[in-house]
Amino acid sequence: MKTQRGLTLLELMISMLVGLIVIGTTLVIYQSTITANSDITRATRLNHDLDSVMSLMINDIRRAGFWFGATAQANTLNNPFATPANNINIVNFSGTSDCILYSYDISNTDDDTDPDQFKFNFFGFRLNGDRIQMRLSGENSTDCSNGSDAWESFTLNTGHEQINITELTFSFEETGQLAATSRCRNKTDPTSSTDNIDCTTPSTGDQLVQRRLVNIVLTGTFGDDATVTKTLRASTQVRNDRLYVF
Amino acid sequence: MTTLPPPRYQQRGFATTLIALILLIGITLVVLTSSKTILTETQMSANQYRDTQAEAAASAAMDRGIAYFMAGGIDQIDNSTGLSGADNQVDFSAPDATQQPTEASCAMPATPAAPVTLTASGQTNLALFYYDITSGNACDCQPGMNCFNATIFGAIPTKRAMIVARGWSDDCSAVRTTFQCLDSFAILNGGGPKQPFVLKAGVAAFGNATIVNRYNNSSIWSGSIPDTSSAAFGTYLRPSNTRITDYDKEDLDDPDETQNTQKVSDRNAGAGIDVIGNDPNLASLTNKDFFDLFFALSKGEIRSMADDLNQLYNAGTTPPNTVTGLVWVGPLNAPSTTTTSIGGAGTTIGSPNVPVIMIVNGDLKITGGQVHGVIFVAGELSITGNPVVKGSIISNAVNNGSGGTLKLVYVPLGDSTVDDPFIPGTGAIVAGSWRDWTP
Repeated sequence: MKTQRGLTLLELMISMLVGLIVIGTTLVIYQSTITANSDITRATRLNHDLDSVMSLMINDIRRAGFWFGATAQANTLNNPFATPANNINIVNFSGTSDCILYSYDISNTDDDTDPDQFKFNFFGFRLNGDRIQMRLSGENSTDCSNGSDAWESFTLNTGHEQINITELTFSFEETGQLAATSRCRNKTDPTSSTDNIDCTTPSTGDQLVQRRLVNIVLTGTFGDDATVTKTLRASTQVRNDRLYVF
Repeated sequence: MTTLPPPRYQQRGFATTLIALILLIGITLVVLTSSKTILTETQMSANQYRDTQAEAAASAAMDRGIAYFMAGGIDQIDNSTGLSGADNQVDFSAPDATQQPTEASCAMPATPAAPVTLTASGQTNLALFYYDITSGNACDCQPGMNCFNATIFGAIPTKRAMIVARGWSDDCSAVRTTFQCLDSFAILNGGGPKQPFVLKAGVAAFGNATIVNRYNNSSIWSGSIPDTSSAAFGTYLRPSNTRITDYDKEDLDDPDETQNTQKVSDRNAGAGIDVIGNDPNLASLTNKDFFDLFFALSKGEIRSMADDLNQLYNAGTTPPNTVTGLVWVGPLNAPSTTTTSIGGAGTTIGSPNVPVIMIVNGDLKITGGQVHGVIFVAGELSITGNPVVKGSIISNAVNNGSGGTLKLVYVPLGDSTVDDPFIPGTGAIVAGSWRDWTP
């Protein structure tokens, strides 16, 4: 005769309870690992993407005003990339000071006379909705809404990973936590020199030198989770000073 | 006989073990994946950081190269010895690929460029800079533009260049190169005075002056009648049957008037062909016009350039003998009546490679020693002791009453026929020429 083996009801309930506790704990640990991991990934990605955009902007903005014809013999007052229309400018697009426009001689050749080529010397960045856009070609450096300019958006990831830009402001002068400022020197009348981008009331014919410095504030947030947000601040000096006669 | 089966022990908790195992594997996979993501992100951040490092290193090398140029042009050392002194060779030239750090060997090899080592917080970045003076570089000869002239001594143009600065990240994996054109202002009209001695008006008493000019045939240009009565007075020119090219620069600038010269004017012969005296065009000039005759920039501009160099002195203050390049003594407009003294036995102001352009808006007394360069005196010049001036003197009037003996050897500045020295204070960065890309 075979002995009937089995578990008593009590044994079964205890073992099921222990099993549930083990599985439950493991699930909780698993869940929290996944969440923490995804938070870290998001923060890192936001960090990294904003950093990339910022370094792209500061590296490009400081090239403003480069001219193929700027040689030892040339009169740099004739620089076509430093005229009021083509000079670096900070203008309003959809907000305040959220668009920077400038130009430089990207091809390093004497193509100033061919408008089909010259338009590719215009660059800029602006905040359009929640995207940063970069200018691919243009006509001037004064109008950020010119219909004939070509702009391209930066796609900072897609779907759940998307990053939205909530703030982009440019300034030639001290702003927020950025203490650096542009300077203007009036060679003809030193009393009108300032620690601003423009000299105080220069007279017609005065020779001015502008040392341009651009402060940038950039804030981005994670599309899926607005609590993940980051603000970057940076200053860049335009390496080519602007000499002009007022 | 019945064989009993081997005893069986019931295995229990199989399901629990299985589930726990699956979950553990899951967690392990997640951790591994996330650490890989983090590693990739770290790598990307490191790349960006190194790019910034290389950029900063290149920028620092650029600044150092510009400072070097501003202090004395691109030919300040003898390349074979490394000591100071011009050798008509650019001081730092382009290295080839083997003369630069690489990722495999992140150290600066022997290089004809100027190496720069930047150390901060225990981290070292390598950089270098050099001057590109090849015809056709972006700063110089372009179609339709005026290229620099060849010089008779085969000298290089020391007054402009394209500076190339290159920086590496700490592990040499990132490298950045930046370019900028450097130039210098012409502050002297027409390349500088064409006579050793120019006197606007007043009593032109040359006293015991000995004037040597082996470059052209003009020694004195004066708005008044020259007084040549002193026994020791004499002017000397290059022998008439010789050319400049027959001599090297050392012979042309030799202060010994008995070498390679012929005497043209003295007390007995009177003023010779090399003396232009009583020129009404010169005598009638206003002070401003007299200044503008020799200088390409206004008084205000030149004075502020001297100020930028920290070489602006009050009338009566003796500038130190170490001054080079542009020096301004006195006020901006009306000349001071205070006398400023310079020199003294055994002193030297300026050097053949780095001359001074000293503008004294007042009276000046030279008390001996040696001066290389151009001296402009808006007031009266007086001489004591035995000064030697290699260059030119421009003055309103000269008073040699105190019995000094001046020796003046003409050395032209900024003349295209000779190797022009760089004048500190005249260097400039060509605005609009900075770039960090090669199209």
